[in-house]
Amino acid sequence: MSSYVKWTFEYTKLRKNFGREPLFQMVPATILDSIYPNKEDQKQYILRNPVHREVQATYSASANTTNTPLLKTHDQSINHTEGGWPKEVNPFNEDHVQRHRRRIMHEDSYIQSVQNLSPSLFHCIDQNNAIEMYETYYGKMPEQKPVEKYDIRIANVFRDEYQRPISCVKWTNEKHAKLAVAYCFKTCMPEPELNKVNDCFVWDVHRQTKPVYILKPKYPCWQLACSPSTPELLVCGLEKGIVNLFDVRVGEAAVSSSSVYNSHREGVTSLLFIHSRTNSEFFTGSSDGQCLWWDLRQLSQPLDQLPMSVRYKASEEPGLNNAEGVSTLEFDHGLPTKFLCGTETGLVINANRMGRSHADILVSYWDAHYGPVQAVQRSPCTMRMFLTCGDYTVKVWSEEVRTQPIIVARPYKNLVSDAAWAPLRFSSYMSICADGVFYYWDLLRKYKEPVTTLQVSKYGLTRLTPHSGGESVAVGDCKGALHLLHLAKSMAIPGNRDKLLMGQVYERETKREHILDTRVKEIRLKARVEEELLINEIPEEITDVEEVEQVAEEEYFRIVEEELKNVDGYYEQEHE
Amino acid sequence: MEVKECNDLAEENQFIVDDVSKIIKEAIENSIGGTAYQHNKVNQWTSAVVESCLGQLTIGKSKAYTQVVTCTILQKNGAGLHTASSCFWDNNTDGSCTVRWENKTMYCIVSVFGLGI
Repeated sequence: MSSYVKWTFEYTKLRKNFGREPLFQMVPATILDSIYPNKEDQKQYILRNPVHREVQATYSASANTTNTPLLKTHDQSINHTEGGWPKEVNPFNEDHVQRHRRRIMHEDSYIQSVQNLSPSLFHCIDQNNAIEMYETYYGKMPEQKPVEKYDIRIANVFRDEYQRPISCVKWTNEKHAKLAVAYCFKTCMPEPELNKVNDCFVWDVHRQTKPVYILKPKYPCWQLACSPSTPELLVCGLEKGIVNLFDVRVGEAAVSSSSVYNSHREGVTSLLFIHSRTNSEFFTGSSDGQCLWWDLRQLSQPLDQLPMSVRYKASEEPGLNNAEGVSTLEFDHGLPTKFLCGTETGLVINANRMGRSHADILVSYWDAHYGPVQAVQRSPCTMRMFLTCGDYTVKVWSEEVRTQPIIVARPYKNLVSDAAWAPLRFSSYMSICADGVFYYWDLLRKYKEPVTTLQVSKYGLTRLTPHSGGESVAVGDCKGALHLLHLAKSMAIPGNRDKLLMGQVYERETKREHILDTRVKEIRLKARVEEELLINEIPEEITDVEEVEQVAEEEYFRIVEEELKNVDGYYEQEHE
Repeated sequence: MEVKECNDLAEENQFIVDDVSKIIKEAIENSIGGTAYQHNKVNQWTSAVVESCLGQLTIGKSKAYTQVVTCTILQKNGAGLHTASSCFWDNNTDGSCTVRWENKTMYCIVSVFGLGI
């Protein structure tokens, strides 16, 4: 019975109660409530004037209507993009693009593909010709002068928790480039052991809290390089002289490593990828005075070896015992067989790997700096021009002038630790100093002083690496902070005629140096001829000792005067 | 299912002012109580008072009444207030009840109109 549910609903109402006629009647207005004003209460309040707060119990709302004339719109789109370049070609770099074009044009399938594509291209051209595509709309407007702003902004700072100096910074070669950074104390002393942690970090540009990847080499890492084709592959040159290959997809530990027995004997000071079909070959330089060529796929044995010896006696063979310690290397993809090598003795060696004998390979050298050359870089404007930095100066050299640099700036107050050309702007280069200042030079705007400077850090700066896009520059300091600088557009992108003008500056300076050089040679020749004549005429000359002393004294003061002039500004400031 | 048969409808239908005023007072005490006047709380208080009144009034009654509840909250700053109403209705079944309640800082006036169907 319990499952039975009564589903009818009875509603009963007495007959007298329903359908009754309602007897409505008027009820006169009655006061529901009255509250009388109260003086006592009023006294407790005063008028607030002015009122700075709105008083509204309900949400304010407003409505407004207007009639607008109807605007007829239609959609239309044009898509202008340039793409399809392979990864190692930077579409903004003219040389890269030219070279890639030339290579494509030499391929056999080129003619075939041009023939295939031409009908559709002609169709597009006909379409474009039907529309006046190049019509100038604002031709009559007065031209505005371009505004050049030299504005540097510190966009982000990535700090190392162990506060180790930054030894190397590299950008990875991908669309959203990351920063691969190596940290270590570069010291030769065994005690005290400064390098307790050897981790290298890969930072995402937008995330400064934590590195994206951590690499854990066994020894302190001096140099880093990212593979140009696969950005996940990183090569580390270690203090021990060996190179390690890391793959961030695999893990923190090294994937493969070279053997201690056939690697460098001292720390790897430079590591660069070279131009090869597989994009897997690279070469390293070290203080032990040799360069080694490697292949990523087989690190057990170097491909090639070259001792960097240029100053040796005729009786000696070139070898490691008379080689110069390598401090930096420069390789440009435009010159696949050549490279430049800065040494710890202040030389810059011009090398060509195609040479047959040792003398052919190390063609020539420049005596560039006192102390190790910190950086060498060929200009993006002309291959023959390159920049070096070391001691207190940054110099620009021409390959054709052997004796002197073509452009020299006044010496800095502090040691220059790194310098680099702006990747796209032909006339500009950047340098950093040991006092934490970043200098930006523009040779077309100001020749004698930097266009703008920025105190990036209160500690000394160690490394400077511009991104190939030109607008971002990574600067590392000796307390482990990596500063990402953002340059204004006018500092990253060249003007229309900059390349031409810079070429002219280069020609002019080269010519000037040539003239000076020949003049010096002439004077020397003349002096020698006169000397010989004198010796012939008066074979024996009795020289007064006092006179000799006086001459030597005068000579000494002249040299001192000259040197003072060279560093004029700084000395005067300090004396005042 | 048990259904209470409403035989004594006539008595139930009447609007008992005492009961209603008790309900109103309870509603106000529960939602406002001793709190001080706060301008931005007024919206919340009025709706709380009105809703709890309506809820209490419709519980336990056959829903034979149309109920109208209004609530006025006035800050006790010495200002006067006079409110009046006038109706056209059946005096036997319909009725109204107004309660004035006050604390230190405000007045609350709630009126309920019960209209038989």
